[in-house]
Amino acid sequence: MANRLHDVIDDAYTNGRNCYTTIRKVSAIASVAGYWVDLSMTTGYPKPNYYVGAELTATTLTSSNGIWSGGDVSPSKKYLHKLCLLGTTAVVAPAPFLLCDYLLFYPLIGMDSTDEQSHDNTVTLARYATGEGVQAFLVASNPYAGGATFQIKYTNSDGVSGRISKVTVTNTSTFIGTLVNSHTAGANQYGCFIQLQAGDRGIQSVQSITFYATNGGLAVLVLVRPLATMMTRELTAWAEHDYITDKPSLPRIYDGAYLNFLAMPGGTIASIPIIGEATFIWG
Amino acid sequence: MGFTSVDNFIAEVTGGKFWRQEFAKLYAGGVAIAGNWYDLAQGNGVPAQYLHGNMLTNADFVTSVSPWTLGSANWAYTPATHLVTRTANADVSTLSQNTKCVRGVSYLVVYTLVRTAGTFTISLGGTAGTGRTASATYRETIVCGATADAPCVITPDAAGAGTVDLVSVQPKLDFTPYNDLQEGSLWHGGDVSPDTKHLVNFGAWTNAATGVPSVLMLVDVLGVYSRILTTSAAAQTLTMNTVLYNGAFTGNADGWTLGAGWAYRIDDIERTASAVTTAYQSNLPIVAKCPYSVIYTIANRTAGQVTVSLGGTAGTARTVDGTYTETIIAGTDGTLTFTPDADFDGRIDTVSCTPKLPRCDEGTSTYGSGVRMFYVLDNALSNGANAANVVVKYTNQEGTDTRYLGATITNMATDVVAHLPHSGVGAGKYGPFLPFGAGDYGVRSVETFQFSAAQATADGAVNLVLCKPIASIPLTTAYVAAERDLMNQLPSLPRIRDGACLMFLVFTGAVLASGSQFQGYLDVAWS
Repeated sequence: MANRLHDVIDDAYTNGRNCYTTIRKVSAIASVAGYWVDLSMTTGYPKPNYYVGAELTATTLTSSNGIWSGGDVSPSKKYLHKLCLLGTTAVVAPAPFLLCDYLLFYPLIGMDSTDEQSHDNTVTLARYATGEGVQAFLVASNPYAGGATFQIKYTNSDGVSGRISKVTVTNTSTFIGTLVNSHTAGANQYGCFIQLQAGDRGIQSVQSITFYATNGGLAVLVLVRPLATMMTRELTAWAEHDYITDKPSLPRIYDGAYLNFLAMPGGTIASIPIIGEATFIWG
Repeated sequence: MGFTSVDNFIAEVTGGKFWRQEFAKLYAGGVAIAGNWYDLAQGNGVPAQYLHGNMLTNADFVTSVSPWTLGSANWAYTPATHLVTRTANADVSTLSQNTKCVRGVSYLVVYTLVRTAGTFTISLGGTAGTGRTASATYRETIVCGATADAPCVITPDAAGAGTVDLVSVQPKLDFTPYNDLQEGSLWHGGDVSPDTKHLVNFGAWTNAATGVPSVLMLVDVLGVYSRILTTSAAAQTLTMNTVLYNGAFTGNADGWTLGAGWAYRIDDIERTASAVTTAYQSNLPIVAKCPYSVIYTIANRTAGQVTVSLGGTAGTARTVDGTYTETIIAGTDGTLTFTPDADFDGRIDTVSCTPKLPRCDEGTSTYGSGVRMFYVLDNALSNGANAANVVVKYTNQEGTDTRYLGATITNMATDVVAHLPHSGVGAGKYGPFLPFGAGDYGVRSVETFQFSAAQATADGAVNLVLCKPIASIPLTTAYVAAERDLMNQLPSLPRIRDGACLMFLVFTGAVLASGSQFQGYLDVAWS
């Protein structure tokens, strides 16, 4: 990558090393205020992600099925330069959005089972291989009742196995696409990610999940690396960020990254278009 | 070094000198009221909950029983309730965790017992507390005994049955420094020296209407004087005591491990020339990356040199008799060691190792500048109208002692855990930090802390926290992320030092219910 502002512009925009892409996501399924939802599962562009894979088996997503960022650019390095988002109703404006690189998922977790459900980790992290900064969420792929508790056993970013997440209470949203581990308030109830054991800085792999009561429904355990936060504020008004001049950070996008958003709406997002655009640069 | 230009920033960030960290903290105190400040350290989430000064890890058994040891299958951990339960059995097996408590030092030991039968007794370093036969939260002062690794042990009798929770061991009035590996600290990417790390972006939001409006403040907590009693109206002396046991070798060399060629003499240890073997104390409560003042005396030296090291970090080799004071940034191995060369022949005496404020440029003329103080309730008060004023005597950033606060501080009389009782909207309220005496802009140490009246609530206490504020962010509306670009929008690029222990304070503009959560992220970069 160029290491001067002038070179960034020259590389990216004079020499064509950029990718402009558009986003339009419309959920067919409702959600509840304050609970995070996975926009990768909603219809629109990029196409919906149904987390298709073998039961409890680590599975990756294809980069081109997520928000398109221009494909592989190695040995160049790619960065998020600009991001714009628009919510067309007050439910998603204001709302925080979290752009993530989706790394692995373990599908078809039965939330009615109180057995320890062991995962197949033949496939490992292709990006962020140590797991440092990698987080996990549990998203519903079938409707559920909620109100149960669960924990995951995982290997942390130092390679220590047998680590155990905090006890997490599932919410009662019931809707597909909702992060069942997210909550508005209360003890043992957290934001979008499953809380790790004290001192851990990320997840390398997840060995199992155990529910302590029947919860109903099926879920997918997803490992992501959060990349950037985006905030819609005003109805129908673009939220715009330049990641050089507004939020200096230039989030790195690795080859093979599957990009999509998590969001925390203020109500149901059913049938509400969320529109955006992104520009990626490399050099 | 810091960023020299936008070009330099781009070069460093694209070169990988960047870390993004999410956080999600629950407020876990009692109902918070508008206009007051609260400490989020005891709240669950990321970073993990932490009781200031606690020498134990995972006091609340939040994620698992680790690092506690269950003595047999008759102790069981229940994840769904995160409680440890004892079933009565003649094995009288224990629940235990090793600590770095110092032999001979008093600690406040607290645990909550829900008993169904029998007797439970807690001990520290082999010194037993009181046998308990009823359900309650118990607070006991225990002088740590001589058992290796100073374990905190809960022992039932054969009939003992019940659950144990919320176990803590805190120093009394003594200073504990913090680093970035401290339970309760938000990770920020590790050490980067000789580069300097800076906070570039800071975002936060809440999805609870009771969580706004509010102000979230990020602070680097340098350390804490723990367990200042609210039940006392006496001036309580705060200390930065030595972490060593028997540094004066009074009557023996107990606590020390002496290698070949070292021997106890008369209130000192003597070494005769031999192979290179060490004299050391291990399992010390020294905090890596934090500075300590190591003082020792060499006498009767006739040959060779000896070098003191702390946590694996070596000091200066000494070849002359004298009393030496060295400031050493502690390494990680928890030992204080005297390493001679093969020729060293001489005596060592009067050794001490006391903490200094970390991340404050110790050794400079402005050591302690920018350091602020607040105190937070450790357990709730219910004293009716019996509010007390407080007097704090401290040493300022220029090393001037006997300095006093610049205003009369009035505490809340009836108060909740996690509150800064000196904050609020009435007369005599200051927050989040205590007001300095005129002209002062920092603290090196605190000497005494005195309430004007003893509070009635048994075992009430506050923890006096020393910190450096990093950045603040106002949260105006539920679901609206407050975001700060600290390079362009509010140009400041606050520095995050190696080892910084990042924690949060919150200023509430409305009634804030326990369990309300604050989520967000930090972006840091370095050059």
